[in-house]
Amino acid sequence: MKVSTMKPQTTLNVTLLAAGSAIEGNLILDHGLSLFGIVDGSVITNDGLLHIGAGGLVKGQIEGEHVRVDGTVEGDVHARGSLEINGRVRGNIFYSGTIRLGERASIDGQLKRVARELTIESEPAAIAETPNAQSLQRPATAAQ
Amino acid sequence: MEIDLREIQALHARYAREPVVIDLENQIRAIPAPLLLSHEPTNRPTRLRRAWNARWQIGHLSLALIGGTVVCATLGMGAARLWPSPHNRAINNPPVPAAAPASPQSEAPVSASTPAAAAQALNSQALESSLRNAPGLAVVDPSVLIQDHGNPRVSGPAPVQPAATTDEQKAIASPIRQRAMTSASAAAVATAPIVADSTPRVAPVEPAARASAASQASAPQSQAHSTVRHLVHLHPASPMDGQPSTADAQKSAAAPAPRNGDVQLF
Repeated sequence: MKVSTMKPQTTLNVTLLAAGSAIEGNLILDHGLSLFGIVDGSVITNDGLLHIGAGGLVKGQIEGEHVRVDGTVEGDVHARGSLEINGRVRGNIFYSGTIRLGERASIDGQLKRVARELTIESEPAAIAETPNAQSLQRPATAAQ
Repeated sequence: MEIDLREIQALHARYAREPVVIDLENQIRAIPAPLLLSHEPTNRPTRLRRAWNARWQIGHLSLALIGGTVVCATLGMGAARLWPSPHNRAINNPPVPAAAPASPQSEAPVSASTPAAAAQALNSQALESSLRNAPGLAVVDPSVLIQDHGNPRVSGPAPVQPAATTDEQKAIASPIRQRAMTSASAAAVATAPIVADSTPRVAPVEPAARASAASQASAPQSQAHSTVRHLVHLHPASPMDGQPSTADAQKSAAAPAPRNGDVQLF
């Protein structure tokens, strides 16, 4: 029997995209990301925190295990674990864990809690036909 | 906007996964494992394993020996069971003497050492042949004759049992002839000087021997006819048993000539 041991991870692997930087295209990572720049495309992180900092802008869909939006996202948001919004989202939100809205939260889209597996692919048509879907177009105020 | 790296690091640390440590060695050591699952290398056989292997080999050998012994014993018992049956059959059911003339050619190769051959030696044919080879009765083994007549199964119903194929044989096997033969043999017992044995069982053979000695002088004939003629001559010769044996032999030697003519006519 072969026994494999996993050593404890001592270093925190995080990508920082500072302000003043712009990326055109999709960004896929297997660790956390802090974005203060501009990304014209989708941002996907498999593990860690996907942080859209204040002043950051994503023109596309974002997807991550833990998502925190302090900036602006012009697209759908998929969060498998926890979701904190204290910024502006112009799109639909799919989450399967917990959601927290900050005092500066502004959501222009539909909010739906789905199964964990369904957070990977968006279903905009099905959501549009859902009668119970709420349109949160007003700015969220301190929803904690 | 200034970015505080420490704050960002603290933020990511909040959502970072707890490091998963799988320390199997320590966990296995903590668990009380049995002796067979110890951490010793499995290539080296343990003492218990070695002892078990040795006993297993010894068990194999002993099992093979026991199996061989059982097979040999079974074969021996089977052979011991089968052996007496043909032996007893040969003793209990000897070939019938009267049936001998029916197939004289088939009995020729049988040796005289076996009990069956001893039973065959009593008929007239055998006596005739022995007399032809050597003059006198010394050729015939008296012990064989005693053995044969001592057997009650042969002496009693033997003349009656054979299946007579021809009319002559039926006539010979008739009770009248048997009575005549027994009377002749009784008379011969009183006068026979040759037989050393005092038992009356041997007596019936002597007249037959005498008659065969008489027929020895005649021309050689076929075996089937000789037996018949011998028994036919035996009957008229019985009243003359009171005379000495030498004169009797001469007389009987002269007698067969006219009889032969009768049989030939027949």
